[in-house]
Amino acid sequence: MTPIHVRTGSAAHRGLQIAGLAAAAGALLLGATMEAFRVGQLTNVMIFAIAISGLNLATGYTGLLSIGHSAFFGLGAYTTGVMVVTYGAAPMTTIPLAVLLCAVLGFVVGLPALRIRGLYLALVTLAVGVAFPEVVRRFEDLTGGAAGLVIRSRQLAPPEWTGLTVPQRGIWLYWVSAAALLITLVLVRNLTRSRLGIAMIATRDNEIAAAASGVRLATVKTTVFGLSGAVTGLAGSLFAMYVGALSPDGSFTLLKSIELITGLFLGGAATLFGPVVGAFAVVYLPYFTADLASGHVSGVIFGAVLIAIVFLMPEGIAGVAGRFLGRFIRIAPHENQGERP
Amino acid sequence: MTLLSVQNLTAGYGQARVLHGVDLTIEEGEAVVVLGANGAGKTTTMRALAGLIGFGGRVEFEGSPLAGLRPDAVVARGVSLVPQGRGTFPHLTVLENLHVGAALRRDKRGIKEDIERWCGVFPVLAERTGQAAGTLSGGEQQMLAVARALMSRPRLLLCDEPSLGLAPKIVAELFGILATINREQGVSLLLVEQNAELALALAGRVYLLEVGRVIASGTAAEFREDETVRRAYLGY
Repeated sequence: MTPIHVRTGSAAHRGLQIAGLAAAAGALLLGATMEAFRVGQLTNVMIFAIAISGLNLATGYTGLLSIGHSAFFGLGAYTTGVMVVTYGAAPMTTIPLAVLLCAVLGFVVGLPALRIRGLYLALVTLAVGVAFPEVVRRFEDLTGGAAGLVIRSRQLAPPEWTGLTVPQRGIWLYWVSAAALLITLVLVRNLTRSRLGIAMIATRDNEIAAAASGVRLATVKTTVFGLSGAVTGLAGSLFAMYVGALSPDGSFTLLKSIELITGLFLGGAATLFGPVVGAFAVVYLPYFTADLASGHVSGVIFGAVLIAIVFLMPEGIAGVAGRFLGRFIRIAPHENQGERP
Repeated sequence: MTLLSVQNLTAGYGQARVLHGVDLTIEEGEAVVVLGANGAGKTTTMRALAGLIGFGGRVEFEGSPLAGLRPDAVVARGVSLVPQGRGTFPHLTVLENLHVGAALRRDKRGIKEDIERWCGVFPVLAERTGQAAGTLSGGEQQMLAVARALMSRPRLLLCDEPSLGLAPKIVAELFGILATINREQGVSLLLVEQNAELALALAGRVYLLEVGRVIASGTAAEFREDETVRRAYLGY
């Protein structure tokens, strides 16, 4: 069958967008009515989706593989943890600081990208990822060291104006994470359609041609790492509110980086919704494979499923889904953007 | 007036020196070709001039030195490179590729005018503006790479073996367009080629490069008539 063609900005396209938003809102409302455990799981998925969206900017769109994003996730989490526990800050007010610090760290990690590339850059990010738990242990006074940092549930109470009580903080964080994810997706979407976004993809596709076109590789790479770190740091900050107890060996080791990378490629690198799909996959796939078998066997099945997905859908689940949908509906750019001017 | 003057250009990769002192000049409005076998240093010369690798010697563009400039600064000065192979971005649309070529420009109206202009010169692109560059044929991609390089409004266009891997008919078409751009748009050309016959038809002057040095130079007519040069280097 021939696909239906829809122009961006047309009434039909608006309609599709509104339908998509309505479906997402419906799914979120449905999720909110579930039992507390399920709400928590979904919150975790949304936080993961934000973290992977951050990684997507550097690794998906710009082709800079980072094995150190656990450090951004951890820095965001510990910034919120320390601010709440030590300085008695309200959790939500710590988010800007967490994002800012992670942006600065990202920019600094991006600096070596000016001289080195490919796997050597990945090694630098690996070093940052390895170093983070050690740094946390080292600064025991601030971070609680190996023993960990515990945020009391009273300190995580929803703000008063919401009228929610301390036991309802799960549902509060659920909606905060949903809002943060929505903002992240809108920002990523706008960014990747901007000049910078085009320059990012150009840098990934053909670095020499990009440089020869006048793209400032140095600026693009450091900016992207800063933004990437900031978004993953936002996820880390929410994660601290979600788990309430932080320890260096818990969620901030290289294993977290690998989970993020797995989620990115499962979901679909360099796609807007790939990270959301990937977050569902990394959170729920282990549960499904655990149902099939127990112990080590479940881990083996999980691994086999990962390999199968990567082989069968090299563009990720979102990439394949996008192509499948493309058979029925095509969204063409608006006249003055896409067609002959 | 001399547009580009290169004296004693040396460059290489790490310990391996590829260029051992290349001299060449390009006058305003000229089309010049550099011929040479594989490994003679043609691509290295282009990369050095585009600021992609460091170099020694004197390189002056419109009277001021290019040494130490980053690639984007070289573009800003008016030198643009069509790299060897496919100088396009496969995941971006044709239109986005052209916008990358205008990365340093802020004049929206001018950019739009230039896109229209180059789509007129390369009609294959006009029909495919919304298509991903990776879905284009080799010839179309090379046309796109040239159009992309022209989007920065260069005074000098460096083309690194544009004929590589293209069908003869497409190469002839591409060279015809390059000649038109050179004559009608006043863009000077420095072309690196192995396809000597076509290159000599396009260029006014020729440099012959061997193992990182210029071993002969002259007008295209002289080259075509010189039997020794023709036999040894041009193969006909």
